Amino acid sequence: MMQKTAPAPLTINISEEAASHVRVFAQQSGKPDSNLRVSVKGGGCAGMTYVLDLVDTPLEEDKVVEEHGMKLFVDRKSYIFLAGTILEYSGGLNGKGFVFNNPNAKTTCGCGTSFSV
Amino acid sequence: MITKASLSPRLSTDTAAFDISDSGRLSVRGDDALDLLNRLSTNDLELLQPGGGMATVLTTNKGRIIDLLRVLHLGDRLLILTSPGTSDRVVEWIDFYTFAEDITVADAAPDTSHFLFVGEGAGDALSEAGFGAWDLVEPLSHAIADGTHTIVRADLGSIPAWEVIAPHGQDIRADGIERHGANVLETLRIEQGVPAFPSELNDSRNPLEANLKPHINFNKGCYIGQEVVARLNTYDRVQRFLCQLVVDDTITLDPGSALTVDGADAGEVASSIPGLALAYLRKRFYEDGARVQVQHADGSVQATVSDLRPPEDD
Repeated sequence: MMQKTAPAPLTINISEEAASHVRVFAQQSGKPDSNLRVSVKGGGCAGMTYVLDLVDTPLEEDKVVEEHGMKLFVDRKSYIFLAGTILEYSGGLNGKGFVFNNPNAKTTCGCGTSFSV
Repeated sequence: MITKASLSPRLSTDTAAFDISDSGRLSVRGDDALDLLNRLSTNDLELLQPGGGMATVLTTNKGRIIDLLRVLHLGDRLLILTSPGTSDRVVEWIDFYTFAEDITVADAAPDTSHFLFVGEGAGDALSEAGFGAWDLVEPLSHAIADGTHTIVRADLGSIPAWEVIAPHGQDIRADGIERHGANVLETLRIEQGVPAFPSELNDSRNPLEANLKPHINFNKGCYIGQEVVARLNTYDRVQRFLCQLVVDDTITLDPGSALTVDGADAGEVASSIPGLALAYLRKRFYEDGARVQVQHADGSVQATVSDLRPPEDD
């Protein structure tokens, strides 16, 4: 008899390299113990823009995800549009910096900083 | 004796008043209100100062029109004037894109009435009635009279005009200015080439083809739809523009009627009054004085094109 397994709940992931770069930025900003707020705001060419902030503590009702020693805080409304996203880092001369691989994004603008759902 | 010019070749009056309370009025408060609206629409609302106003186009991410908003900075809050029938969609749109911003949007329409006074003499009459209309020169500049009435300079095309937003239930009248119905306002609007929702402004159209370029700031940075609008403008990719079509006064063209030139598709009629229409005309046929065929009844009639495009900046 086959057993059905429930799909893993959608979450937000951060790659090891991205987490490492966040830590570097945190140290350079004089906030070595800070965590990362990942959110969305309205605007940008495509409709919604990704926002990254270094913060100390989560807000009430934030989703908290921990991976590679980095805590990510996501507010509930942003989470609706970010669930399943993997935050990666594209380095090197032609790199784009932090990259959001967001399965909810139907289109992205030319510079990749905004998306539509 | 100086006589003031008639408002219109079709009307024998030099002033007119209208009850336009069916248009939307939204009261917007919050520290992030201007910033958020600036991220959602075409004009640079960050430049707005108390007492001033600005028209801006709310656009989709495909650069299509949701509505042409008129935003007034009242000091402690913003007042957004929307087209009739669009305020619910505007509220939903703002709400969808509100995440952590400090902004509240309230429907001010149930608490207010809204009147339009057109014609140079209307300014005199409103000033005599205590509304100080003559002090308002810049488009959408406004003042508060008696603490409860907002007076807005809101010209209708080239006709000087003022709007009065009053507490609900008050009927604002000025001596010597007759109240007219929606059909007279529609006549003036089409004669002046002013686009309106939904006939000319809707989500099948972009702001450039609707001649709303003066309400687009190309240097402000990103807003929803900016990439599409900027590309259309930079690469001259706008396919059609709004124009006037002049026909015999006995003919009223039907909205949606097809335009052709030598059998080729040239566009369609958007709205009309006897003898005149607003229409979207393909760019390759767009020329002042050009002739087009318009589908009418069982056949077609000839119409003459009148150019409505705003002048290009130097």
